[in-house]
Amino acid sequence: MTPLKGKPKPLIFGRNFRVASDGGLSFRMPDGESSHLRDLGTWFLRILDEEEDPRTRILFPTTYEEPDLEAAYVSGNRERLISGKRQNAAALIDAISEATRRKGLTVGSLDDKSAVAWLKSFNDMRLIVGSDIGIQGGEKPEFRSHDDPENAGWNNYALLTWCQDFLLHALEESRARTKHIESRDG
Amino acid sequence: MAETITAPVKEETPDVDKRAEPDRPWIIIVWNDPINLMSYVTYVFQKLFGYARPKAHKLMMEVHVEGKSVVWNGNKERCEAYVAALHEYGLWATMQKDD
Repeated sequence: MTPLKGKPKPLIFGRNFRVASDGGLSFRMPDGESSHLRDLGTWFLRILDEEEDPRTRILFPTTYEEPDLEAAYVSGNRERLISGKRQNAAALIDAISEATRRKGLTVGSLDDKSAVAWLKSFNDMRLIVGSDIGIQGGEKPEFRSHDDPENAGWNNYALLTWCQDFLLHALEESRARTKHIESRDG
Repeated sequence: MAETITAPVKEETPDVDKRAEPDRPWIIIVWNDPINLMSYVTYVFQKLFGYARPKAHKLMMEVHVEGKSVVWNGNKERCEAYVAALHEYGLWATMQKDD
């Protein structure tokens, strides 16, 4: 696994996800960044639809050592798993498409279910992008300059990683605030 | 509140000879991988299994340091449901009969 320390430089989306005093979650990010996330979601849906794309194998680990048990498991679960991943990516794309745009920022709210869908979809895309650029564990997800020939993959990986981490913290803060309010109000 | 999985109703199998096939539980193993974030794995263990943060963190560290961790055990049907949920979260999970 990868430990994540420090903050990205430049910190362009440090406050992408916000938690209101009532625990409500919202996103607020530059239009360019939201468009990029939406494009990544669209790309993900496309390769998920391509049968036997080797890049998606990492999303479907083998469950059983025994071939007959594995075949039965795949038969009973694979389509549902693909459908869930598709729905999570669609939730990301739809929320960004339907969000308000003002002064160069994309702004919208996220309920708990949508936030978890975003979290899972960020992770699915990180798995594919991360394995594509050869992540071995422990590499810092840093943005790379335009003259780096590998910058596209690394920048996608960095964007998805930091977005996932910030959303994760926002979700935990949201739950803590909601719990506190419920406890206070009985 | 933790996300829970409803266990499917287990069908009775009266013809199974329990002496020949002892009712050993199945176990779920989560394996280390280079991409999943440690914070995310801890979150998934909390959310999916309802574990308190210290237990979820301990299991995550076992995965990270030792390469794998047994995160749950129970009957085959519930294990399969949990493994499918772990795969939806993007974790590398397998299951097998407990030795």
